[in-house]
Amino acid sequence: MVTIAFVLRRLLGAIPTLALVVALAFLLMRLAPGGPFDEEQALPPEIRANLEAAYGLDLPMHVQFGRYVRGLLQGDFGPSFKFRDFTVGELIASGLPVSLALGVAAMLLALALGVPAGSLAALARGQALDRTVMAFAVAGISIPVFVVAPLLALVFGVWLGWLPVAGWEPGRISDMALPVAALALPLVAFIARLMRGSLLEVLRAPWIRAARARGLPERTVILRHALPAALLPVVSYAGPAAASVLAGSLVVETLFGLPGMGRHLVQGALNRDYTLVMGMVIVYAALMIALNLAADLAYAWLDPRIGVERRR
Amino acid sequence: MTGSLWREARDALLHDRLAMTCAVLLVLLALSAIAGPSLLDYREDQIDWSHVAAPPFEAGGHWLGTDRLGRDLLVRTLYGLRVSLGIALAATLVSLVIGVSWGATAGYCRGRVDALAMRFVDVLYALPQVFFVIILTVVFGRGPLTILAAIGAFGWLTMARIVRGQALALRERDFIEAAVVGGAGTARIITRHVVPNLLGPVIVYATLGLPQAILVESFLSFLGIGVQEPLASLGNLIADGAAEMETAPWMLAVPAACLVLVVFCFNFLGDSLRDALDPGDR
Repeated sequence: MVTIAFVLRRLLGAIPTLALVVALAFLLMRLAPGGPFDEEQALPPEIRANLEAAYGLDLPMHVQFGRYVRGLLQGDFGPSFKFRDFTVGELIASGLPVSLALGVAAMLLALALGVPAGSLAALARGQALDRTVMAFAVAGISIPVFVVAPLLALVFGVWLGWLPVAGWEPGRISDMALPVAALALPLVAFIARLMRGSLLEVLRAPWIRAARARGLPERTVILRHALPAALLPVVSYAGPAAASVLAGSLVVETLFGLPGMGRHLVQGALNRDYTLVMGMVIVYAALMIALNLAADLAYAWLDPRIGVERRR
Repeated sequence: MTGSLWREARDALLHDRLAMTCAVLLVLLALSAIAGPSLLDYREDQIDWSHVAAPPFEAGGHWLGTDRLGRDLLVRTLYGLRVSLGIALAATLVSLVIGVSWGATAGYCRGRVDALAMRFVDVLYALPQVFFVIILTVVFGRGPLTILAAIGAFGWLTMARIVRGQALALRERDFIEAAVVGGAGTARIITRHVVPNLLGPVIVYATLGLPQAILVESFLSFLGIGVQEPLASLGNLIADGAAEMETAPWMLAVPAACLVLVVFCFNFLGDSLRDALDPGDR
């Protein structure tokens, strides 16, 4: 049972984590030796002082932090130090839809391929199909996104010429195909492995034997009884999966030249653009926390035992 | 008793042919990463202007070709492997030392110390680690030392959790009680009964942590915020290769294959070690 109190408690629990992310990111960024205006050509001290005053960098640390948090609460992430014509908020607003579209598509694709592959492997345990799926899964886990992505681009973009290797028109599916596939493949491997193990375990459970003993057809036993229960570990993997997709999106967006948040973050890190990196990390952290929360709630909703324990 | 655990584990491993292949491959790769660059004809930063972007097996003793500056790709890949392995080993060692002492202290002391120590681990666990590693590279500058520290700073969390769980469970086990009843001192119990039983999971998770560290380092180096030219790591070699893949695909293939091979072998070896050292599964 997912009660409103349960949802609220989980939501409240997420707030300190996010607050910690903000505080720690801010603190670390301000500890940095060297500032955003350290360029190859040194600025005259007066100009530098004026610049720092304009961005509020001359104020005491706690005042800066207070101003930053007040801004955040109003959705203001401050100005970007390097992209002078944009605020960080504008860069996030332009990049977030692209990154979200990529991430959601990759997660859905990974689920759509990984769950059936793992289930089929479990049902065909020890047979050729099982061994093929598992060999693929082991390989997939060892090949990181930053190897998969260029290889896919090389084979399908350069050699076969089927798909574009760079560029982004909103809504054009061919632009998304390679980036999404590159993000999804390592996940497919992991989900397939997880699903296989979990289904094998569930199939040994006494209540499955009970369902069979009641004379239910094997189809019903597997589809209605075993699969939903076996999906639980996959649901709880949603959090780590989100982390891996978000990290992978940095690679994919940089490599395929997509105008998402990840590319802004990498650019910001290369330019030492404090406010940009901070803003991006906070948004990424919020996304991860939200996804973990959603996974928690889905788990509680799917697993009746959690409700039973809470009622005691 | 502990001797037989190790002997059984060793026998199980020796009979696992694929795991042994992985171990031998890793040793060979590590040796060639250490010795290779100085044994081969070219140096990692030596520019051969007469063979720029040469394909493998074609010119001037460059077995695996050269990059766009005419540097020998085999030597550069081995050199990059040395840097990547070095960073990963050091980072794993850092997380090993912090993780084991943190987890063991929490597990032995129990009570308030345990609660406080593990709360701290929980809090760090909730942070988006990759992004904080990026922040750390922004703050402390890019370079091998920052990467090492940043990976080590988060890598110990899993180790601390595992060691603490083991230590807590070990305290309750009958053989510890038997040792206490038998009159063994605390020091003897810890060295003879607790540590050997901790060592198994510690070795397993160190083996599994190494490829993770390699992947994080290569990920950052690929993005350009890790190891910087002229220093090579598998990550920035792959990034270079990806930039040139249309004209010189071997520049991508050689370091990528090396990385995948190393990560796969470590993962496979770690899994086999876990199976061999986990008495619960036998």
